[in-house]
Amino acid sequence: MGADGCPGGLVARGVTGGYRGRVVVRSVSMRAEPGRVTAVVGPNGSGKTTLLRLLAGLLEPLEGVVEACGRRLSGLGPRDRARLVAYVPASAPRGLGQLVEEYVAAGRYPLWGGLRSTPLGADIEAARRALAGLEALGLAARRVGELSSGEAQRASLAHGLVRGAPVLLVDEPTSFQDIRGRLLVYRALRGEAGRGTAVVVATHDFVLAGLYADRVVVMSGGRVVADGAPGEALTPRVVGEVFGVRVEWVEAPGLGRLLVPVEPL
Amino acid sequence: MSARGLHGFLFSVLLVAVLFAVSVSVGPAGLRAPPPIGPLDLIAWLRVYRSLAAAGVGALLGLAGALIQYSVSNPLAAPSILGLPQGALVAAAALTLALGTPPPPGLGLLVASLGALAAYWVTMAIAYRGGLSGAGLVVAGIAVSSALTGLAGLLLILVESRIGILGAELLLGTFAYATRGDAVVAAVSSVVLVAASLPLLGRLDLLSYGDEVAAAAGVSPPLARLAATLLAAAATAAAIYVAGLVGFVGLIAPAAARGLVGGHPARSVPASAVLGAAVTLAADTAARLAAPLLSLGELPAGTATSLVGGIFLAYLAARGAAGGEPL
Repeated sequence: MGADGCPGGLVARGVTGGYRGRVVVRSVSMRAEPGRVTAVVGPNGSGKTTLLRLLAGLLEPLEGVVEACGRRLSGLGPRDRARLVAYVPASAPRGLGQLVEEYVAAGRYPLWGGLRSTPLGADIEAARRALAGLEALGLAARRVGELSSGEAQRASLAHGLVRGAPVLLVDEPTSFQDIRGRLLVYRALRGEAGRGTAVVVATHDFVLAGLYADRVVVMSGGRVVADGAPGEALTPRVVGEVFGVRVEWVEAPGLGRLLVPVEPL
Repeated sequence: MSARGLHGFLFSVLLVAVLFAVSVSVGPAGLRAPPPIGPLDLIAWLRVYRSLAAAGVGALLGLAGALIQYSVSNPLAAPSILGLPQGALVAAAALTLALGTPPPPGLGLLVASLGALAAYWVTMAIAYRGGLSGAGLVVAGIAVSSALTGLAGLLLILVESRIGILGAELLLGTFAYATRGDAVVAAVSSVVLVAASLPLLGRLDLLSYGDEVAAAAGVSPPLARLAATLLAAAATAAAIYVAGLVGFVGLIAPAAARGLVGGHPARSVPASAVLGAAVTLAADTAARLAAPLLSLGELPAGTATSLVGGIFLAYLAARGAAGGEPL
């Protein structure tokens, strides 16, 4: 999806939301630009998942608006919304004996005609390409329920990627990945941004966010406490207050600046 | 459809055709294969009605089981385990007692469907309180189906004694009294309900991965689950109307279908209906052949399906399917 296909990317203005009277996210305003990876960073319970569900249009804001490509999500039907915004939840898929390539291909369901229920050859091809990009092509013919947590996580990312939506939201895509898996996941997210997609990733791993995100939104207690380029948002003071960890930015020859956690505060 | 799915589906259809031919050809009255040309005699016609009723009921139960299993992504969630047919039976028996006469088919099917829905709703409400684990749903279902089986037994004995029609035998479903009308209800409702479920199967596929996955793909989990539940309740009610409670077909057929054509519901739900027909035809034929050996006039088909189904459930439980491991 080219940037011109999604003017403005994803925008939240004064969004407040939560569950059954319990407000989790409070007046959040943020923007995810097309062609950029935006990381929503915060410790467990800071409201990242709730914010992502609000941004995906799965949760109706109590206040404020979310717009994708200039269109208000709350005014769209579910299928149109799913075509604009692909959301990958953190929970592992269950399934009932489907193959991984079928699960991944089902990510294109919103693009199919109204009565179609099965993936065609082109959908399976797209699923295999997405899996291959995550070095997970070997999973294609396995059953969804038999995957390890890390394998299921990569299959779910592929399920989100195959939709080719102009906005991609991913919740904790690296929590079960080994180090190589984390790098593969972020390479895929950077590649997706390279195609003009507005990518938003929620993670508690501020080190990876500092390395790979173009922009970092730091959340604490349901509010945004810092927003900007990694070096501006993830200052030692902000990370210390939000995560309780002392960090240093260090110069790495040939790599640029790295955020290094030093000790608990 | 993949080659595996197509072959598996064709195999299932062929299996039903063979079992249907066997079912029409054998019985205590001796071998009376229908003549290739010319009119069928009375016994042959009765066997055709009976076999059509068995095949239709099996298809209804296989369909209901598959729809429920995908809607809660649990391979143990068979209608007879979750209380649907027991609820239908209680509602149908209560209606018959209230009217003092067998209800007309339309009203009977409607009230039985509502009974199935009510029982399923109670099971789900209990399971949600307990956190809706795979095993928790089954335990809630056993509680509801046991209580309703007792209630149905009581009501059916009252029906038998007060109104003088078939009663308690319906607790172990039978095709011994299948009429032409039963055959028509079973055949028509199974074809109509399978056809009505087809547009739902893509949504059920997404729903089976989880509510968040489905919602993110633009599928409303409550609406998709409601549609699957309504179809399953209607199928259960039609099966109850024709034969009474033929248990466990909705557990066996979906698992067999997934093994044969793979796990995608677009293939396995129709295949489950076809295999349900095969299971029920085989059970009824076996029960009919076993009855003379035991010097019995009739053996309900439900005895065979419950026997096989109970063993199959034990196998699933031993494999850890209650923990959510899909078959």
